[in-house]
Amino acid sequence: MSNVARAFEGEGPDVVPSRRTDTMERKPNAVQPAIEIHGLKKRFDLKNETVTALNDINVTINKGEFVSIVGPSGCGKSTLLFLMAGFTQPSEGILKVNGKPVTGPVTDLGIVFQRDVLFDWKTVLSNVMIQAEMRKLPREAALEKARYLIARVGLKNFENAYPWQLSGGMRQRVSICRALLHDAPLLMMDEPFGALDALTRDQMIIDLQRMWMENPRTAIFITHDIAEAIFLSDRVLVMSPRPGAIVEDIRVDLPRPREIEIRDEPAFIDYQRRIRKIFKSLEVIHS
Amino acid sequence: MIMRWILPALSFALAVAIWEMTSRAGLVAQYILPSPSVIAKELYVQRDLLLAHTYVTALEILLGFALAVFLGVGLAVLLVYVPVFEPIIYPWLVVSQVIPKVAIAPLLLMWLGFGLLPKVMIAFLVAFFPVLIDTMIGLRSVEREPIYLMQSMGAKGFRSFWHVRLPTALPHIFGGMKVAITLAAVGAIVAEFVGSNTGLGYLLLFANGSVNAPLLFAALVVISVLALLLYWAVSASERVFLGWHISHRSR
Repeated sequence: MSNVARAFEGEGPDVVPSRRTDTMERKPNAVQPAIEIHGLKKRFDLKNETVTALNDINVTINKGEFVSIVGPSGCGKSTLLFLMAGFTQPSEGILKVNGKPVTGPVTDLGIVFQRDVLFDWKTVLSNVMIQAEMRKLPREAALEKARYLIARVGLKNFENAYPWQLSGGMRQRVSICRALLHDAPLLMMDEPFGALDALTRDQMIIDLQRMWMENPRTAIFITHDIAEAIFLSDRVLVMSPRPGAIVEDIRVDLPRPREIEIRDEPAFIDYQRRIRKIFKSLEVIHS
Repeated sequence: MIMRWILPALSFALAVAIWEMTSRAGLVAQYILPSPSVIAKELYVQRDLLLAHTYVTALEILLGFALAVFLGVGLAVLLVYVPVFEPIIYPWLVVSQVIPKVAIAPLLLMWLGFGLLPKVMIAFLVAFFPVLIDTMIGLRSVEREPIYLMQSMGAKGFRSFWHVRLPTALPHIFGGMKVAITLAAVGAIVAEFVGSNTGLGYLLLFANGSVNAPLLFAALVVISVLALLLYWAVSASERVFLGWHISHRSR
């Protein structure tokens, strides 16, 4: 513990006020930002025009939070995620991940895409293990972890199967295992269940919640499904149609673990109604 | 099994039988179209001669093909990864392909002499373009997500190429290689026509000049079998490398 922190714990009350901000950050339970975004804009230059995809995004996502970003198709949710992951660069504004400005791909993360992005030429196990292989993690430990995760999502007998032998839901489970293998402090998901049928999706969000609770970490979840967003999240960020902006930041106070039936409870329905109302006022949903 | 082997074999046997019968019935003169049995006998009697010439032609084809694959894939990687090369090199490639190779064969002979080299070069020139084009298409058909995924794992450059771009391009590369191997055979034979004293192409011309129809047909049979075997070899290696691909999954 540093001297400053020790000072805060005990002696010298006169020291405290002047050093408050410093000591606040050092307290173990203090809320720390994982992602900080200020005045972020993203424009795309097309043939004849410049399209503003994101307009003035300001948001802070704290460490350990599960945050969903919900918005209509084409509002720039995925663009925002790709910016946070450092795949593309903002046109304007400040974007920091773990306190550091993002200048290139962030490697301290696990990512799940809309499509599963499994490699057809690798088995399920190899597809998960590529994460360890590329990061040069110790092989034995990673293998054990990979097998554990694959079993955890119910694919124990499919370790040596190829992706084309699996259903859409199974494939996306494999890609989630790949994103979790290296215990990154940041998990990013870009509409991971968008292509799945409703029943599979219900199972997926329950599984995801369970795996996240086993090892909570900062999670960013992009979706256009309001119920999915509420079910999974501590916070739901609501985005407007293009040019995308965050119009509402809703804290979801529902106890975990959440069961699928929670969607029938008044508190849940209230959240849903609130978000739907926002979309209606933005004319995303017409009557 | 029946669909794959027996039916094709039956249809082939039937065709040969009809051919043999029309020939024996005297409907076609032997010096115009020798019967299968005569060709078979010639194949046996002249086996040493045929084999010696086959060796030369096979070597030309294989060297030309190998060069085509090596340079085709290499150049495609260069053109895709270093975009500035494309406007510099690509027009030359297209122009070089528009000129009929057969037309420049005499020129190559003049430049490179009478030996193996001009034949390999012509086989290469004919076979090279499909490999290049298909590899370029393959390397460019990678979506952005797999590349992003690799970046998130800290893998770029060669590792991203090796683990994502190359496997994605592989089905296209093999498609190009299958076209290339048959074209390389055509190139080698034509090059032998133009100027040579060995090889199956030379043997074909020689038999033609001496009105030796059985030998001509025997040479033709050997050329066909050789081309078929080479194609089969490429196809078999494709099955080994692309077992995962949608075109090879067990149905």
